[in-house]
Amino acid sequence: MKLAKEASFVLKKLLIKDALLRLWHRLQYWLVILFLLYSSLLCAGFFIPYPSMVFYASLLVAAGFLPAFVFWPEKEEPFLDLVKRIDYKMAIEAWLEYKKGPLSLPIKKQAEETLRTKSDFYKFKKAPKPFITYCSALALAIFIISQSVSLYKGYGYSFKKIDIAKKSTIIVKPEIAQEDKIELSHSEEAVLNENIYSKKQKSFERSEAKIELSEDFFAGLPSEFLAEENNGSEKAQERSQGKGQIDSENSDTAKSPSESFSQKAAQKQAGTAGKKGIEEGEEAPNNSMAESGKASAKGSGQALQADPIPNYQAIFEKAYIDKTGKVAALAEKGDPAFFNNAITQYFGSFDLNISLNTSLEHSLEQLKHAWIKAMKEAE
Amino acid sequence: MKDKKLSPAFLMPLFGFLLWFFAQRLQFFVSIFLPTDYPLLSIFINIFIEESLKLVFVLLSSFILAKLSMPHKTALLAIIAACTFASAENLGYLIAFPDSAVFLRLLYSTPIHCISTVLFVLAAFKKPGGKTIHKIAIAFAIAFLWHSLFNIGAWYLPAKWIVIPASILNTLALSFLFFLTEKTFVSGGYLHGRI
Repeated sequence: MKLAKEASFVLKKLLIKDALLRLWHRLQYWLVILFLLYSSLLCAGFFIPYPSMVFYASLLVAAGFLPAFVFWPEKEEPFLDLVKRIDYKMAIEAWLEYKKGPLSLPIKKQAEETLRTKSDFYKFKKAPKPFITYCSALALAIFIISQSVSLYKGYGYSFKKIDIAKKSTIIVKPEIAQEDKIELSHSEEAVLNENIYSKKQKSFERSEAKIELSEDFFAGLPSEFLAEENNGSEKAQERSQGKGQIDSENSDTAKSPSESFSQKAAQKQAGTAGKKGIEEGEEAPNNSMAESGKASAKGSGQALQADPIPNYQAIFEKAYIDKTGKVAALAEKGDPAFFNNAITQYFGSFDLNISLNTSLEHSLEQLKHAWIKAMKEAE
Repeated sequence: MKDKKLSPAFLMPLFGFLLWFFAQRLQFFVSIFLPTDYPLLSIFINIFIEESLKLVFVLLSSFILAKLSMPHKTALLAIIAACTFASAENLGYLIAFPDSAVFLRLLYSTPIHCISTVLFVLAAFKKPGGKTIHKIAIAFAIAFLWHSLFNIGAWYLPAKWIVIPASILNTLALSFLFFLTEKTFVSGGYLHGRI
């Protein structure tokens, strides 16, 4: 006793809707349980120093159980539940039960009529189950607590497990650092000054390394660039001289690779000389920084002062012109977005390196400071 | 009385872990006798071992559940064992290679085990007049080919290339199987051939 095409289509549609609704409920269960587990692990990480592997392994296992939620067999009979929900007059149930007989036609007609009306008015909206509501609320509460704890402890917003032991060695309260500074004797100050000098020296060495990196970066340019470089060196030199904003080194930008290499070697020598000068008590770091082109110079003549904020555009221009000889190329393009993008790409990795080293040096500095103090007390 | 029975769902993770353990041991044992010059042969044998063990487990659980007068759809709980199997494998990789890339296995490795298990459960379902053995053989062949396709793909191509097509294929297969299980276990008994 097959249903008419239209009624059959409606029943199939209802079945698919019901299946999708149950699938959505199962996904909700999975999501809520996963979120609860994630929040709990995140929160526990601030109080219990468990290994990070546990955090990731738990999430990996929990996420991997999604198919189990999708294919979980229903205890009840979802089809009969659906029929009971849509069929108050039991017309469809009667059609399902009545296999064959003299009343086949009227029963079928009644079932088809019921299905036609349900196609327009039946909606599958259901309130979420209490388990999902309570679990979501609990997970959200734990997540908010964990973020509050994270902010309170000075970790910022944390979306993955925090290594408490690692962080505690880095954090030093500012008031303690201030106290230590006040109690410093002359000898300690000398040690600190030496420390600052070594930091500056490292910074200078890093700037040298950056130049080397930039050399390597442009070293892989195609041969046509190098040919252009040789041909247009004179033009480039004129343009760079006319530009005025670029410091004296930039006028030598359009040199051949061998020349620029020798120039770099000379720069290194100057840097070494600068270091020696520092040892003799001169103000060499600033000069060497100006020489290396890491910080842009303002003013002219003897009033040259290193800008504490490096002019990335100038540095990039220098490196670009140094290798390509296309001093006007960037200006002629007239596309600031292109230029900014190039600068961002060029300096991206350097920024990462600098921030990492800074935090490490700070902690080491504090450690060294504490060690000197302890040794002083022991004496 | 019936409600107080222990649900087989609680035992499935244990069975899944044991399955994984036996599969590992068996693969290791077989690898001793395999020539090292043919890595593809070793891949196929490993797949055969894994799929065979899962098939035996599904058939056994279907048989035991039928003896306990439980409906056949309860055998779908074997998917918990499949998920445990896949998770144990993933954890092994996470411990060996602690990298976030292991999470990509959730998209292309975990569904493979689940797809084959659901296929076996559907094939083991006895319909009046149906030839169950033929269906089981076809399901095993499909599961074996599906698993081989992904493993060989992962062998020859980098993970980042295989993840997107593999996850799309897996999602499609899982969706198809979901509607097939709905048709078989939800409305099949009532509407078989009537709409």
